[in-house]
Amino acid sequence: MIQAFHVYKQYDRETSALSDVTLNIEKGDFCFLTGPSGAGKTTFLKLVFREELPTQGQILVGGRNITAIPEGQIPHLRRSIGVVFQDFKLLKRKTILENVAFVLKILAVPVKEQKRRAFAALKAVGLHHKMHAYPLQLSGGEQQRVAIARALINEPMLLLADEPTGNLDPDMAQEIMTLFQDVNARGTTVLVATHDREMIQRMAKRVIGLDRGRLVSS
Amino acid sequence: MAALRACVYFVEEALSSLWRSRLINALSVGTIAVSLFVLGAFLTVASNLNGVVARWTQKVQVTFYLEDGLEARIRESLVNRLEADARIESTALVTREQALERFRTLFHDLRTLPDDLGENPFPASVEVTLKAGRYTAEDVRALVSAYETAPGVEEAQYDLLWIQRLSTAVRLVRGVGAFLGGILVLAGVFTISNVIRLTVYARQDELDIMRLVGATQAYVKGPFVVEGMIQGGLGGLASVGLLWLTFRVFAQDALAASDLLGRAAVFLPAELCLAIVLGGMAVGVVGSLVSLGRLRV
Repeated sequence: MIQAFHVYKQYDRETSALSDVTLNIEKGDFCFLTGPSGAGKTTFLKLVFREELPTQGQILVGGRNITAIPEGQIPHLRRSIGVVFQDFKLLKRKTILENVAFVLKILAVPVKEQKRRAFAALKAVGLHHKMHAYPLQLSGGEQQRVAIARALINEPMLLLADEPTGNLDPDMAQEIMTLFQDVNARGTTVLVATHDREMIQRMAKRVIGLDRGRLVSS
Repeated sequence: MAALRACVYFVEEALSSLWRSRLINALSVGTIAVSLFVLGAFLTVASNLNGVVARWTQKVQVTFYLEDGLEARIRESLVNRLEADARIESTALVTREQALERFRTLFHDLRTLPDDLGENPFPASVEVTLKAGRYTAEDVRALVSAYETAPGVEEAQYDLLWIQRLSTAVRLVRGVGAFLGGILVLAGVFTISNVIRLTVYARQDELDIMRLVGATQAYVKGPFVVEGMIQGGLGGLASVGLLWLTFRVFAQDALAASDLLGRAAVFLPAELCLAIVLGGMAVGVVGSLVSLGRLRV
């Protein structure tokens, strides 16, 4: 599903965010991307959903070289990837139901269907009873769950999550991981960036380690 | 269906954004309205003057005043020569009595003046109307020089020169209008683009989120383009309304000028009003596109 070949990313001359990263994540895998702060986890995720381009190297997602796809194809790539951002990235002016439904809205899904699926996605993360609330009326953990619901609503081929449990209590974190496992069981490849060692051990999945931009284990 | 849903989304977002920042958006609408009002006012004046010029130039006349006591034979010979001329549409002989009568009809208050003089001061004349397409100054001058020394002709008079001057004035009015209107329309584009840019800056996070979840450029930019289009359209509507109100206020003066114009002054035709509104919308779209040009999606 994800193939990276000698990927480098530099934001300035002195520091390398990623350096010679080569890895392969198979379709249907569930992997953790781990490492200390500044290891390059978030940068790697950004490269995978083409928010940024590598300075050097190639990345294939679903068999397509995303470093070479035309600009106009980027939205289509992103629609096949669900992303849970570290800072949630929710639309503050919209209710959480509208936030989750927005992904379907841009795909021109009929309004009734948008609402039905958005409600189901919120129910899956236990927030359906707050569907008319706005993001800023929710706690950090709840906002995180909304972001997860949005990432999953379109049944993506790939789910990327950047510290998805960072704001959650252990019980909720475990629930979210169970949710990811269910999604993974339905065929979605899952890549979770985290430095929560306890959870990584508990889940017993493949772990890809980064340190100062270099791959240290895969 | 998908395109329709996208359009509905654009309009909903645009209206909601316009309402949220209604004060600053009113500034855009006002700028466009003033720009198009100036353009429209010049157009109204030019189109009325143009109508007058068109009507007058459709009937360019040369009047040959005849010598007193001219023999009928010479007069008929002159009229026959004029009628045979290929440049001439029609000729009309105006006798001294007819000229006097015409004066009395046109200048009612002065109708006793000829009686006071004790004689009819008006000479007989032949009024010549030129054929269409024969209105150039050269044509008229050639015709005049061909006949002003003909036997029986005392004097030739024609009004083409000042019609031409009026035409030049109309062109000037139109030119000044286009120039001023053009500058103001550019100011409108500039204002709308800056207002939209402010909105874009204010909503940058939101736009980032939209593109990160897979919205296309068109989907992200669409609401802003519609917003500009609505601002421009509202500005256009306001300018037409303002023009109409101004026209009504000055309608009395325009009525007084109707003798000069040969008809009551008229407001801009509906097509031109529509063109002003559509022009405003185009200005809005251009303004939005200018501000969205560098938006990264």
